[in-house]
Amino acid sequence: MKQDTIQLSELAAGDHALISQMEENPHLCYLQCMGFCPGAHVEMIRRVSGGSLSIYRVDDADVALRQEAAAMISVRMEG
Amino acid sequence: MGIYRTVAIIGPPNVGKSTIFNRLTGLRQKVGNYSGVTVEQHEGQIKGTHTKLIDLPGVWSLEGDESSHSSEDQCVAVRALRGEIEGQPRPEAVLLILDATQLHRQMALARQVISHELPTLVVVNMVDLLAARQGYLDPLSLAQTLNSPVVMVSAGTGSGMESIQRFIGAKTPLGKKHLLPVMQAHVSQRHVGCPRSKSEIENEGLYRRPLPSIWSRRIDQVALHRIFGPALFFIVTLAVFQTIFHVAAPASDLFQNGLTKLGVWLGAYIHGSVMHSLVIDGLWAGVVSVLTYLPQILLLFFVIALLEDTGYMARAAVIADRTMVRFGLSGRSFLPLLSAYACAVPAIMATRTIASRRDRLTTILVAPFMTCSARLPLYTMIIAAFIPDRPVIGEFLGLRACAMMGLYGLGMVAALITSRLLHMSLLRKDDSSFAIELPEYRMPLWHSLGINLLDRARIFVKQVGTVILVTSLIVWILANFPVHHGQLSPIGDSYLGSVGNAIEPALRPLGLDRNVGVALLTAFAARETVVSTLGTLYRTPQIGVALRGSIGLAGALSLLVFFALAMQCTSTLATVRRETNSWRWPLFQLVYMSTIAYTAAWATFHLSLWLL
Repeated sequence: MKQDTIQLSELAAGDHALISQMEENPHLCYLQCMGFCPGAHVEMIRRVSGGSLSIYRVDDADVALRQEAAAMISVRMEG
Repeated sequence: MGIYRTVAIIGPPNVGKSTIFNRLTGLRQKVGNYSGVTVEQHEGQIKGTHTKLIDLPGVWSLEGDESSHSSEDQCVAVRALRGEIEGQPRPEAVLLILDATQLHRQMALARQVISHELPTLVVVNMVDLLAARQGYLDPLSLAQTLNSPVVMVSAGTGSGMESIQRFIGAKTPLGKKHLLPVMQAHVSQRHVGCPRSKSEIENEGLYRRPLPSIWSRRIDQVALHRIFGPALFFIVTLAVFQTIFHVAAPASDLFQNGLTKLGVWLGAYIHGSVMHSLVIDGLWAGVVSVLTYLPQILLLFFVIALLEDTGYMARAAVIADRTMVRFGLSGRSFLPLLSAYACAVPAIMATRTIASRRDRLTTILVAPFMTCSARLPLYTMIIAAFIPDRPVIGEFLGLRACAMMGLYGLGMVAALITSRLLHMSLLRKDDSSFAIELPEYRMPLWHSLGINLLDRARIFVKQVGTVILVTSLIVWILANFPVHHGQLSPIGDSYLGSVGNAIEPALRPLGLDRNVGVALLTAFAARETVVSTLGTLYRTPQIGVALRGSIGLAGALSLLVFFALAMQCTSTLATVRRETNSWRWPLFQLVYMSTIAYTAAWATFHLSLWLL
């Protein structure tokens, strides 16, 4: 199933995924507090600001992440 | 009397922490800065007690290394809970504020706070919203899970606040004091740390998260839409701009006129020319220059607080992010920078909404480049005197309008280039904000908003005002002394005039003379006074004519460029000192902007001589 894992930043609007892994980084704890934990369900809502940010729905809350932050999170596609 | 002498209040951002703080303390507040950092320190005295309430910065977590998001806030919060902040005792108890609608995301912070082994009251706020959206919380089970007493409140309506007051020991309507049991004598370290998996409180069935806010999602379909989003952002921006220029500026003028008339009235009761000049032209003029900013500051803060409280500010930051990131800023820098077109002072104070230290510092450092309204009298006078009223694009755009736009553009370009340079050098290592939480849209809480506005006004008058008063007094003494036969010196023969003579050799390469130099020195007290000082020095109301004779077109262009780029505002420097809690940044700003202004003015003068 390794090949199913992609980066969160690669999701298109409307895609649903499960977070599988998070890269070690200084923001890890902050991201986890925001709800980006392994096993959490995440939905990509839309790209904004010319694609530099994407809105993700995680734990029923909407969070805008820069592409470089989203690239640190690995997800497995659902549906 | 309260049971505890010092109580700290802590919680994540947007949970209503400030509202609860304001409800508990009312107007008994003091605002300062934690030593060595830019984090603001709010203290208050809880009503009906001698208990000091310390408002700690909003944090998502107390874990993580120094480089984590909002690390300065985190460090302050952790050090305060440990009692490691100089001059501030360790709190004897903690009020931990959590959002009932987001409880599943805040349990990690709750455990981290409780692990500090201080008596902690868990205050679950917004329980009315939780119930309205069919959520559920069993407070007894939550208290057992956290080993801490739990109270449910709604800070917006004030319901449940008496439970907090009972914990603190303030008198309640029943007139009795209770000491709540402190249960967390020993907290298991098992769950302390960053959240590694989904929330356990939902798995245990003691909490059911509320249904998502349908309204927030519907509004976001427009507010963050590819086309409608930027359009709405443009309308909001325009509204802010209009508020600053068409509501706040006339209000400031009116206020200024009223204060000036009051000064004239007061002056009639002061005898002796020296005393009259000292009180009215020195001190009162200083008071007027401080208070004139107040309507602008209050209106700007009202608009910004409204955008922040309703939740739109986070969306505006998202929309503006792309453009601002290119120049080393973040989306949250946009509104403060826009407001700097009116005045850099409120703009710098408005940078508090920027969570990232780097983005906030960058915004503070570049804001004074934006063309503030105090520069306009000199711009208007010189453009009218030197630039011919010639059409460029038919009747729509004239040469004078182009010159004015050019000056606005010059300030903006300097700000953006400086921001890029800071991003690549001094502020390179600090982390920028990379994630923006989009809170649900809410109605603003007017009571709390009013107290926050009063707070801003108080900070401004007390801390910035003191510096302006001292500067005004120094400039007055320099501009009027020495005294000959009981008469004050005319400005040309004063100490300031002597300083003008001394700096004249440095001004010659810019094509400027001694009178312009003296006028530029007085600008440190109030920039808008430059035109009237020039009038006094040239002894004519026809200042344009006098300047044409003394410095010519090349000198005038050089003066415009210098005035556009130089840091010549004591109020701004005082505000930067306060907001950054250090003299390092205002001094850097003064040296950097003066160097840029001098070099650019020199280049303009020589280029103009060569081309024109």
